[in-house]
Amino acid sequence: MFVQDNKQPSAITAPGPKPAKKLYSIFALQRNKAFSGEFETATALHKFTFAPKSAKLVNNKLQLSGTFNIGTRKVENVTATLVSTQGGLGTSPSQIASRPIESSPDLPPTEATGARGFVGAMYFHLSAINAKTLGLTIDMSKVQLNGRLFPTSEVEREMQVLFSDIVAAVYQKVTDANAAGPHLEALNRILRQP
Amino acid sequence: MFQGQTTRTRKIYDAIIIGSGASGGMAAKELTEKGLEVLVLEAGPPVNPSRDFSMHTWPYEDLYRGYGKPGWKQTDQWMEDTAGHFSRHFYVKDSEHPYTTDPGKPFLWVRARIVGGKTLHWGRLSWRLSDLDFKAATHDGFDVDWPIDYKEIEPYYDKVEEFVGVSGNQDNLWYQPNGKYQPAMALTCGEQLLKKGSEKLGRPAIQSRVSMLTAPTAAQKKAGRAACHYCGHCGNGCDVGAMFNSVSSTLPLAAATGKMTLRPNSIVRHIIVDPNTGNAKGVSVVDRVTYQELEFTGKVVIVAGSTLESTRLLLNSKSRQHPNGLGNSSGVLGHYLVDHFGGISGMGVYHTLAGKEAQNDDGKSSGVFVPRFRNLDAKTKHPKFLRGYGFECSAGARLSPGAGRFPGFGKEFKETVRRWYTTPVFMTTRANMLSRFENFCEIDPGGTVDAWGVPVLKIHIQHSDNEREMAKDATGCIEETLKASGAEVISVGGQMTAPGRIIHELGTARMGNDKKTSVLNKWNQCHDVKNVFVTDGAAFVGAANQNPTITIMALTMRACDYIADEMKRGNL
Repeated sequence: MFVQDNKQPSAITAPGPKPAKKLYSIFALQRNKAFSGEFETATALHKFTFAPKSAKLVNNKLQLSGTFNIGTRKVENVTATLVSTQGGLGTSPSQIASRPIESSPDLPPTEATGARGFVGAMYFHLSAINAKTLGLTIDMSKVQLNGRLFPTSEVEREMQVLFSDIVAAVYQKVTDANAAGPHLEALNRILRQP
Repeated sequence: MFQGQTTRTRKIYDAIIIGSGASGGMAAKELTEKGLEVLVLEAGPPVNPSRDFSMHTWPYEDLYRGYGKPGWKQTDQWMEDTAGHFSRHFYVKDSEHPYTTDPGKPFLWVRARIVGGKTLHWGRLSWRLSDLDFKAATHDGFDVDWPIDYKEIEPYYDKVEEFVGVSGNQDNLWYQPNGKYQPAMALTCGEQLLKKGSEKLGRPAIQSRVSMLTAPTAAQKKAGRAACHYCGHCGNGCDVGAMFNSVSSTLPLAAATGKMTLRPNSIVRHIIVDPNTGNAKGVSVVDRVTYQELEFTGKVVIVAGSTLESTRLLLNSKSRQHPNGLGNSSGVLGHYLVDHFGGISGMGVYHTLAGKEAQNDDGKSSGVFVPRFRNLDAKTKHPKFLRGYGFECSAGARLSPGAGRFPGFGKEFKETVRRWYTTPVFMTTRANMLSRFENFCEIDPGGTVDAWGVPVLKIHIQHSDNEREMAKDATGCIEETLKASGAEVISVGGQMTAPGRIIHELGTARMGNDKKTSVLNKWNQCHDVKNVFVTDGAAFVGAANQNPTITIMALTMRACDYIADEMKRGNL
């Protein structure tokens, strides 16, 4: 029935994806005000950071601008346009959890839904990056940054709430850029702080 | 071996099967046994049970006592709700496999890209649907009936149950049909108390029917499968074959015919269509590790990659003939997404069981089930909601969830914890979510892709007041059942689970007799493309409230009979 030979391939030790020519997406965790992660190419593992310095709305999409670096090599003025999000599950940030529940008060609520909803992951499209500047030969002309929000500090918690409010304002069927305005200002204040 | 270069194989398979889980594995077994040469494409890595299954691994064998390095789940597999440190390799990494949702409408999508798919860790509850479910619209006027009735699928339920090995009783409930069962696992003392309490209220409570062997047949023994020994960590991979999974059951039989080629690490980008006929001629694949682009050719394509992955593939398979996705001339593809909901639960303790010794039966992974009792007939009609729900219940020795709050410390504290160790009883709801057109998935309009550049799904789904009324009713019924059984009620209520959390996502490529309102016909065959079949949960018309896997396998077996017959007739 079973393969009992330890030399046979195993899921635990299965290798991860190693693109040789084109990089489609990279994963990063928000830590402090930046997104940090690593990706593997056919030849090596690369640790990177995208550190946004400002935020604005472009065609009702959130756009962050900042520096993308691998080690000491960096590319300035990289833009990251938020194209889609994934709702978070589990315990919502306290500022969100304290908001009133929208459904009928005598009926049970659904977890992390409605006013309790928050953003768990953000998918950005990065502007084209010249990989040679970073010392790489892979195509980075259209890379997606998968940003995971799992706050462990006050600034990260605050930014998650702001990201959630901006998304609620401009990533619905009916968008309201005015409603996003104060949250965008607050986000820029945080990004400008040293 | 480089991106951008496509390798095409010359071989033409009788059938290409996408996925190796409950449906894909069954299709491989059925078709190879009928003499067809099949290629099984699995998106994830191969599995080696001797290394990958950890059912008998003790927590102290792990540096972090079985919890894994702090934070791993939230930073790597945050949506893989049931993944534990010892089973995390059965699940995808969310960091590589995005999907998107609307603000304020989360969906939890658990995915298993690995040979065997979700059968490696599924819940194993195996309930047949009845005509109360297949003909639900006739019963209450909401939505449409399935294009099949119970009599049509009954022989396949029989065959599947006998093959996979389901333990259970003949309970003679018309709305929860009997089957071909091995002896049921005995109820624990607490479960017997709960059963009596529920029956006092006029609600039958029956032993759970689970795809776990209690008396293996000669064929199952020959295949190396043994009876369950109640060790209780089934979700970490069952290495004695007691629990049904593709790796122990269907795939070895398919391999033994010599007619199956299994290719792991094969992510199907799209189905390739013959521009002359509009029919499928093969699939385009990218290798998970090397990014090599490949093409395979087959006479029939069976899509069995799990409900939403299958629909994603069809939506990604756009062509001149199928501009809205393969099989989507109706515009229904992606719609009528459902999951069951849970989260409404209760917990109590039986004082009469305090201070007892733990028994081996406490380790069994089954329990007692209260089948649906609302809206069965005029007498049980509920004024505020349609359809119904059941309760999954268990009682037995386990650390009480409130043990941390027991007073005292040292010896006295340990004795208190031990005293209550045998007393807990749990009830949780499994409820029907109505199939509604407005709950749907589409290819993410924002252009989000996965790590291989394959466009991902955006999922739009939320509960309606029908589900919320059901949840309110369930809360009250849990409390009265616990009280009727003599338990001290510790907690009741909770919030409804977000869609997806029960891992019973169904629909999105529904069957039907009318090609204008459905994607598949009654044989799981695409109305638009006669050589494409979708055999997993995507084909469901409604969710009912029972666990779906046994129905998925029965539908797959039935579709395979049809495919073989049609091939003989020269129609495929």
